[in-house]
Amino acid sequence: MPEVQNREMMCAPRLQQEWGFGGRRKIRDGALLIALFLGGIGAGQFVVSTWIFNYPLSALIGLLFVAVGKSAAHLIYLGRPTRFFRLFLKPRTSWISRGLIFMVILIIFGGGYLAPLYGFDWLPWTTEDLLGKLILAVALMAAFIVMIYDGFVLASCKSISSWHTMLLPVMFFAYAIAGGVAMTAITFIFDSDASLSVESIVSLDLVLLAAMGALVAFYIINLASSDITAKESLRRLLFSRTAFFFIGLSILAGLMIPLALTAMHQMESEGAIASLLLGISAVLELAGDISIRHSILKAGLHAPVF
Amino acid sequence: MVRYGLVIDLKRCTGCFGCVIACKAEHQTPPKVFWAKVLRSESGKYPVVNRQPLPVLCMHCKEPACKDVCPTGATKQREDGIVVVDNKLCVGCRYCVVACPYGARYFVEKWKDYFTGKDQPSSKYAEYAKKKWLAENDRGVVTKCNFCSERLEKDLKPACVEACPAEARTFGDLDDPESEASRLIKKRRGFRLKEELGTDPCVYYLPSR
Amino acid sequence: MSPPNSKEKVVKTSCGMCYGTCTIRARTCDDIVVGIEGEPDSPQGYGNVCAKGISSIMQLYDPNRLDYPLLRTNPEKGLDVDPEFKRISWAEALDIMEEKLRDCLNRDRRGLYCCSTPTFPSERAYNIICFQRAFGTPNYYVAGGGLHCGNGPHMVAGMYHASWSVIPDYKYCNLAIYWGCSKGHGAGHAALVAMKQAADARERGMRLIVFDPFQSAQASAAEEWVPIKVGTDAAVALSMTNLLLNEYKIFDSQYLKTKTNAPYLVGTDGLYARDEKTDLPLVWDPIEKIAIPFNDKNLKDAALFGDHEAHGDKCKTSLEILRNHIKKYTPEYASKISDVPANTIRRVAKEFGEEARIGSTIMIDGHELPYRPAASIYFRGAGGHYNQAWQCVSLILLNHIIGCGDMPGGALAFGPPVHLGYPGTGRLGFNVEPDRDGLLVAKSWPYAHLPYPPKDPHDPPERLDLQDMFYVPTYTTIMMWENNEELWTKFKIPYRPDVMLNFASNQIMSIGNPHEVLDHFLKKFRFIISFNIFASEFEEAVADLVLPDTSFLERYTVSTTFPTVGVSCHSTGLGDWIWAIRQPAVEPKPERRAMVDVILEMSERLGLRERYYEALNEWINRAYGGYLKPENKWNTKEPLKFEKIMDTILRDKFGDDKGLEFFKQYGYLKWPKRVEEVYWRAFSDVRVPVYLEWIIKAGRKSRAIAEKYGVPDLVDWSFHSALPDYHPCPSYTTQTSENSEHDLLAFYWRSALHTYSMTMENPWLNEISENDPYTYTIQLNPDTAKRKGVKSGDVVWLENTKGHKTQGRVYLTEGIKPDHVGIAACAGHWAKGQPIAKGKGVFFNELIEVDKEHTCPLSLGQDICVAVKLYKSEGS
Repeated sequence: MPEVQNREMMCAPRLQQEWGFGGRRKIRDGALLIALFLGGIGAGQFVVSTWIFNYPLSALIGLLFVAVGKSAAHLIYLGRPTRFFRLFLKPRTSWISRGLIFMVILIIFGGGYLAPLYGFDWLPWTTEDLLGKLILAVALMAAFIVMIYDGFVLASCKSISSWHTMLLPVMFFAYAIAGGVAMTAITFIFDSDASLSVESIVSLDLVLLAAMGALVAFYIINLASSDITAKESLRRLLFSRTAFFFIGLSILAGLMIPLALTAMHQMESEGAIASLLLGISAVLELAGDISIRHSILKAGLHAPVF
Repeated sequence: MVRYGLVIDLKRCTGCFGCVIACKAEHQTPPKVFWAKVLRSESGKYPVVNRQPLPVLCMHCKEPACKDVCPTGATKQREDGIVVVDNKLCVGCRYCVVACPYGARYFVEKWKDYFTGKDQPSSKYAEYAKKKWLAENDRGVVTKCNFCSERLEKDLKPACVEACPAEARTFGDLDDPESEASRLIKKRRGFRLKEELGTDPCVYYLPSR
Repeated sequence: MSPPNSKEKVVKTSCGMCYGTCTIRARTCDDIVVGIEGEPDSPQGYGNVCAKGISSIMQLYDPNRLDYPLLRTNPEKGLDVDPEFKRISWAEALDIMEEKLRDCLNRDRRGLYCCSTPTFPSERAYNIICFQRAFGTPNYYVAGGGLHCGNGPHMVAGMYHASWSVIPDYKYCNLAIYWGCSKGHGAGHAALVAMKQAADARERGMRLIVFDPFQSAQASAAEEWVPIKVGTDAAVALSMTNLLLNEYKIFDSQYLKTKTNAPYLVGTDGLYARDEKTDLPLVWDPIEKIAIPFNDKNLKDAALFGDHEAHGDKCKTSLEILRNHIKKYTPEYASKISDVPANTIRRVAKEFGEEARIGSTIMIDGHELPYRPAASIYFRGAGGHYNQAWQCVSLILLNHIIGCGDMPGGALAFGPPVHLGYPGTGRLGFNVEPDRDGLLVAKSWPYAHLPYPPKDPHDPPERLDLQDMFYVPTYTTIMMWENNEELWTKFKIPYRPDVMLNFASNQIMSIGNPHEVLDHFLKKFRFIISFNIFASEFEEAVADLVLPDTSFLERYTVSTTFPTVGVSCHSTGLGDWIWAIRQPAVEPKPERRAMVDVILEMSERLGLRERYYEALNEWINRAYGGYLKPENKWNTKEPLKFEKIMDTILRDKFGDDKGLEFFKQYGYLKWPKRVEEVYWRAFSDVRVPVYLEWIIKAGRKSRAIAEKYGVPDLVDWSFHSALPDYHPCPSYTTQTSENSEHDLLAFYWRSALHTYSMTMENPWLNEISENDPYTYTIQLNPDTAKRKGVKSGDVVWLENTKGHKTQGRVYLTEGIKPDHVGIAACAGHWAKGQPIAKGKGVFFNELIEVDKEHTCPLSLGQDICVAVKLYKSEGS
C-alpha cells in the first residue's frame, strides 16, 4: 500500500486537508490554526494573569486575543462567515459548539470581571469583591474549556488515529497554559509599570516545559505503538517536511532551548539580560506552541477505508 | 419505514469509473469534487497480488460520525436513513469532513468551470451546470452524496446504480428482509467498511472471491 | 432537476465515445444536452452507460472545439511548428478542397490517400470508404487503433470465425482464458454488452484465467492472474496444445473430423494431396482404407492421425503434422520462453481440456448442441508483436482442438457472422459458406481483404502500402518505412502521395514514432484535408485545411450495429439483434458541418455522383447482406443527400413503415436471435484449418513478385508456412543481451476510461485519469524500481535503442512483471488545440519504430513491445 493517498482514487492513508495551512484553500485554511493558537494562548494568558498572577493588563490582552483574534480568525476560515451564529447551536453533541459557547462566556465574564478596572467603575462589582470573584470563577471555568476543547475536537475524529487520543486535550491544555505564561512574560517585559515575581514565572515555566516535554514524548510513544496510519503520521512528524515544525520548532526551539534558557536564567536572574532571556524563551515557546498545533494538524491522516 | 441502502458486488465491479461520472453528470459536482469514487487498492507481493477496485460514496451510516459533530445541525438524517446536508444551515466549518471516516464529504468554496477553472461558465452546458449546482448546493458549504434523493422522489434509482455497466450495484430497503439488497447481503455475506468505528454504514459490499 | 418552464426532450441515439455504440438517451433541456442515459430496453448496452458515454456532454460542449474552417498559412510542417491557421469561410474552404481534389483526379486518382479513425465505423463507411471508391483510389487505412490491432487478431478471427475477434459465450462458459485482452472488463468491443454478460458469468461462477504481464482490470477480476513475458503467449498456447494432443489426449475427434481440416492429407511437398479428378483435398478412410475427397458421400470415417499413402506419395494427416510439429513445445521449453512455470502450463491445459466436457451436449430451444464451456480468448495484447499472426493462430487453435468454436459455452465469433434475416422482411440476411476446399468463408466481410480464400496479389502492387501484393494483411505501414521511396520505385508504382483526406484520425500520435511518421510519410503530401472536432497534433503538424466536423451528438448515421463483423460492435451470444441509428440530439453550431454532408457535396462538385451511388451499392451489399431491392434503386438524377440515403437503406431492409422517421422516433429496432445464428457452426458445413496450407502458396506468390522487382528480402518469407510457431520479438534479444542498458520490456495497455488518444481532452475523464494511480503513469515493479534507484512519483525517461524517448511519472505496483514497464496508451498530448489533454500522461508510441524489424512478416502488423532503458529525469 502506498504511504499516503496523493490521488483521490487510491486506497491508502488519506491526509486531512481541511484544517490548517496547506489545506484545500492553502492559506485561508490556516486561519483555523491561528484561531486555535490564539484561543489557546489568549485563554491561557487570561488564566495565568488572573488566577496565578494578579496582572489585569495581561489578562485583558489575553482576552482580546480571544475576543478579537480568535473570533476574526474563525470568521476568515468559515465558508459562510455570515452564518457564524449557527456554530453555537449544537452543544449537546458538537465540541465546536461547546468550545465557542464557552469562548463567548469567557469574553463576557472575563470582560465583565476586568471592566471595573478599565473605566466601567460604575459596575456593581470590583475585581476584589465576592461578586467579582464569582464572575472570575465563571470566566476561568470558560477559559479552561476554551483551552481544552480543540483537543477534544481533534480527539473526537475516530478515523484519524493520530488525533483519536485523550492525550491531545491534555497537551493542548498544557500548551495553552504555557502559551499564557509566555504571553504574560512578554507583556511584563514591555510593561515597565508591572511588578511581578520573575522567579515565579520562571519556575512555573520550568514545570510546564517539563510537562509538555513529557506529554510530547508520550504522544510519540503512543503513535509508535498504534496502527499503521498512526505510524505513518509519526513518520510524517519525524521525517517529512512537517518535521521542521515538529522537531525543529516544537521540540528544539519550543522545548529544549527554553529549558536551557530557563536554566541559565536561574544563574543570571538580574536586569536586562534576565529580561532578554525570558523574552527569547517566551517567543520560542510561542513558536513551539503554534508549530506543534500545525504539525499535529498536518500529520492528521484518515485510516484507509479498506 | 424504509431504510435505504446500497449493495456493491465486488465480484461484478471492474473499476470502470462509470459510477463516478454518472454521479458527476447527475449532480454537476465541480472539479476536484467526487461524491462517488473508485479507490484502487492493492495487496500482496508479486506474483501473488490482489488489486481490487473499491467503489465508495457516502455510506449513509445509521450512526453517522458527521452528524453529531456538526455544530449547526446542517447535517441531518432523514427518516429513510439518507444523510443530507442542509445547505441553508451549513457554515463550512468542515468538522464533518474531518470526522467522516470514508472521505465522502467535500467542501466547495465556489463553483468552477471544468475547462477554464474560472467562475465564468465556458458554455451553455456549463451555465446550466453552474445554475444547478448553486441552486442545490451553494458556495462555501460542505456537499456530499444524497443517494440521489431527487431521483428517488421520481421513483428512479440513484444515477450510479442506473449507469453501472457491470450492474454491480443494488439499491433497496435494508429494513425489508425480502428486498433484493437484503437478500444479497445475506446470501453473499455482505460486509461494510470500517464497521469497527460503530458508524453502522448502509452501504454493503459483496466479496470478490 | 430542470428549471421550471424549460423545454425538455429525449433523443434516442447511439453513443460514439468508442465503437461499442451503446444505445443511449440524450436528455436535453432548452436545446442543451444535460444528460446521457442508457436506453433500458436496448440489447446494445442493456440500459447501462459508461464513464466515457456520459462524459460525451463535456466533449460536445468543449470550448476548444473547432468552430469554423481553418487554412494553414505557414508552409512549413512539423511537430513544433505553428501552423498559423487562418479562419476562412466554408465557401472558400469548399473551393480549395474541390480544387485540390480535382488536381489530384487529373494527375492520378491514386494519389489520394483516405484515412480514418476506427472509432466511427458507420460514418467512416460513408465519409471515407464510399468516397474513396467513388474517387478511384486504392489507398486507404485507419490510424493506430486499427493498425495496431488490425492485423494478426482480425486476420485469424476472420479465418477461424468469419469474424473480427472472439469472445466467450458468457451465458454458458465455465472457464475462459484471456490472452492480453479485456473483453467484458474494459473498453471497445461491445463494451457494455460484454461488461454485463461477463459480470453475470463471473457471478454465476465462470472462472477466468488471465495471462498478462500486467494485472489489468480483467486480471484483477479473474480467479487467476498468470504473469507472462509480453508477447510470448504462442509458446504457452502451443505447449498447451501439445499437452492436449500428445499427453492428455483430450481433443474433440468429432469436431476435428467434421469442422476442421485435421483429416486432410498433406503430401511431402507440404501441400494437400488432392483428388486427381475433382482436385479436392483427400482424407484417409480407415474403414475402406482408401484416400478419398473430404466431402465424398461414400466417406465412412476420416483418420485424424497417421501416415497414409495417396497417389503413391507418403502423406500425413494435417493433425498428425501439427501434433508432431508442436512436440518441441514442452511445458519446460515454453516456460523458459514465457516465464510461466511449467506446472502452471500443465495445470491450465488440463483444466481447460477437462472443462471442455468433450462429448457432452446441451439442449437449447429444442436443439441438442455440443456443450463446450471453455474458451481461449485473445486480442490486442496477443496481437502487438512480431509474431502476431502465428501467435493468434496458436491461441485460437486451442478452441478448435477442444471443439468449442461457436458452440455453447465456447469461443464465439465477435460479432456474429450469421444472420438469417430480419423476420419482418426476410432481408439483411448473411451467412458463412465453405469454399471448394471446405474451409470457412466469411460472407459479410465489409472490407477489401477477405480473410480467406486468398486473393491473387497485384503484380505490381498498386497501393503505396503494398498491401495488395500480400494476402493476409489488413493494413500495413510500409508506406511509412524509411525506404518507401526506394520500394515504390522498384515496384514501379507510378504515382506518389498527393492529397490526404482524413477523418478524425491523429496519425501523429497513433501509429508510431511521430518524427518518423512525419518525415517519411506525412511530409510527402502536397495537401492534407482533415475533418475533426479539435485541432489535434495531426492538424497542427501537417493539415493544410482543417474542417470542423460535428460531434456524434450532432449528426446522423445510418447504422451503428451493422455490419456485425468489422469494428461495428454487435452483441454476441443469445439475446436480440439490434439495428440502431445515430441522430442529432442538438443542432450543431452554425459553422460545424457533418463530414458526410461535405463529402456528398464534394462528390457532386467533382462529378462523382454516379460513382458514389455505385460505391454505396457495393457497401450495402457487403455490409448489410445484399443489394437494394430493384424498387429502391438509386435515382442517379437525384443529388446525393444523406437523409435520403439513410431512409432508402432503412426502408429497403425493414419495410416501408420503418424508414428514417421510424428510427428517428425509436432510435433502434430489435428482434430475437435464433439458436442457428448464435451457434451457427453446429449448423454450417464449414471447416477451419489446423494446417494452414494455402499460406505457403500465397507466400510463394507474394515472394515471386518481390523477387521480380528486385526486393527479395522485403519480409522474412519463412513466416509463410502452414504451421504455427513461436518467434521472439526483436526486443527480447536487446533486453536479455549481456550488459544491456535496455533491460526492460515496455508495453501498453488500454484503460477503460479512454478511447485511443481522443478522450484525454475530456475534462471529466482527464480528471479521473489524473486521480487514478495508473492511467497517466508508468507502472513499475517495486523490486525493479529499487534496482534502478527510482521511487514512486519520480519522473523518468524511457528510451529505446534508437534513442527515441518518452517521459513519465513512475507508479509502483506489485501487479506487474518485474522486468516490464506498463503504460496506459495513448496519452501525452502536446497540441495547443487540446489544452485539457496537453501534457497529461505518457506518450508510448514515441517508442514504436515503424520499420521492417518491427513488422510481423506474415500479417505486416506492428510490433509494439519495446526494450527500453529507464533512467531518472534531470531535476525530477
